[in-house]
Amino acid sequence: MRGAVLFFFCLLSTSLWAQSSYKAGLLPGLNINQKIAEYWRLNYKQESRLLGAEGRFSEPSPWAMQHSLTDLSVIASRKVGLNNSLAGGYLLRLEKGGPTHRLIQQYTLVSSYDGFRLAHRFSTDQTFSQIEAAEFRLRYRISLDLPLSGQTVDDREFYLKINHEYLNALSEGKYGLEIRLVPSLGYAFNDNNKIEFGIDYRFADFLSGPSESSFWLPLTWYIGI
Amino acid sequence: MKSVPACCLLFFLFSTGITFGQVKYEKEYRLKAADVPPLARQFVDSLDFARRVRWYMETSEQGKSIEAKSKRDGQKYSVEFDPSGKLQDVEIEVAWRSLPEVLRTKIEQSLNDDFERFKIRKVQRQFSGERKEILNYLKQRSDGSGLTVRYELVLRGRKGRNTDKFEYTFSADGDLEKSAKIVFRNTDNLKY
Repeated sequence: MRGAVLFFFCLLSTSLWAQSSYKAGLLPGLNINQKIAEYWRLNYKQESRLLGAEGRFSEPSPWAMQHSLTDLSVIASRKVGLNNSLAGGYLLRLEKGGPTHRLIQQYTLVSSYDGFRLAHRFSTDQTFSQIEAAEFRLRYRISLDLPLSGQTVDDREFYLKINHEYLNALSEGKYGLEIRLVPSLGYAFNDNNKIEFGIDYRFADFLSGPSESSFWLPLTWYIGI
Repeated sequence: MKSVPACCLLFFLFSTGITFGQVKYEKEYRLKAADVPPLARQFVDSLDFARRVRWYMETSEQGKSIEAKSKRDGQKYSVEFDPSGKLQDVEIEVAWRSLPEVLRTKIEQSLNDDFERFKIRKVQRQFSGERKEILNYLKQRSDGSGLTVRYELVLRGRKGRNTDKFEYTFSADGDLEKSAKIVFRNTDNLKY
């Protein structure tokens, strides 16, 4: 009996998975950080989304790379404590249907431990565009970076970084949850010059129907000036 | 097509980034026990650490040093050597409350002069002197009277609107020997 129930659930989950859609592609990005005063910093970010494939798991589509969108953002932050900061900014999304505007507010807390660093990011954003209804999000992200040699990430060393994020979204009265997991391998040329490459897995819409999974390959360059 | 300029920009930054990386030279990396000078290994082996010993090589503009980290009787130990294996000092993490009250009061007075508010995060008792004397003291075969003792404190201090992290070193009598602001490593890749 137990075997039959298990078989039924396996069948159900396989069927749900088959109905689920997916996207896959590349996420090249550039992240520039500038110190403008003792406690003030500016972050300029450019990230492009290059879509390689999309469809349903049951009907996989061939790989064909095309530009999907580009995000440009600027965020000003102020250090408000020993290891925490408040920030606010604006993001412009350029895509086929027209531009999208996003206002961002965030609070970050970074703690250093023996052998690793842990960061918590709490953020809210509001997104507006002419083609879609306004969207309001509440996000929480936990990040860990772990040196692969020694106790701190020194110059010319590799490190492992893991981001895990929960995004709660509200649009036209509908609630949606997206979960992200991004393990990355980083290399620090020096403290102000790092590159990270990983897998950005996003799992969304699973509360309201067939889920959507996204598999991106981010390649991000962090530069401090 | 729009992706082409972005790829070119990334390629450009890749190539320039490698050049930036050659400016500063300071690093710490793990060392295999087999690569540690025998003199240093013998000293650490004689301390009978129950936990695994982690060895590090630190390289900076000031030179190189070898460090062994482990735990003994619930206390964190850090033993520093020069590259030939000659003992430099031994640091043991201790509780602030375990320091004599007279010493704590004197240190607090000194810190009160520098900060409006402070919070001590870590205290290390540092021993330096003859290798044999340090070993005898750590093995509880002597009272350590011939050793030089210092206290290294890591603390969070507030001056005006600014809060920073500092490292203070005091003598065994509580006299301030040196202090330095701790500069955090860049955290931009964890924030954005």
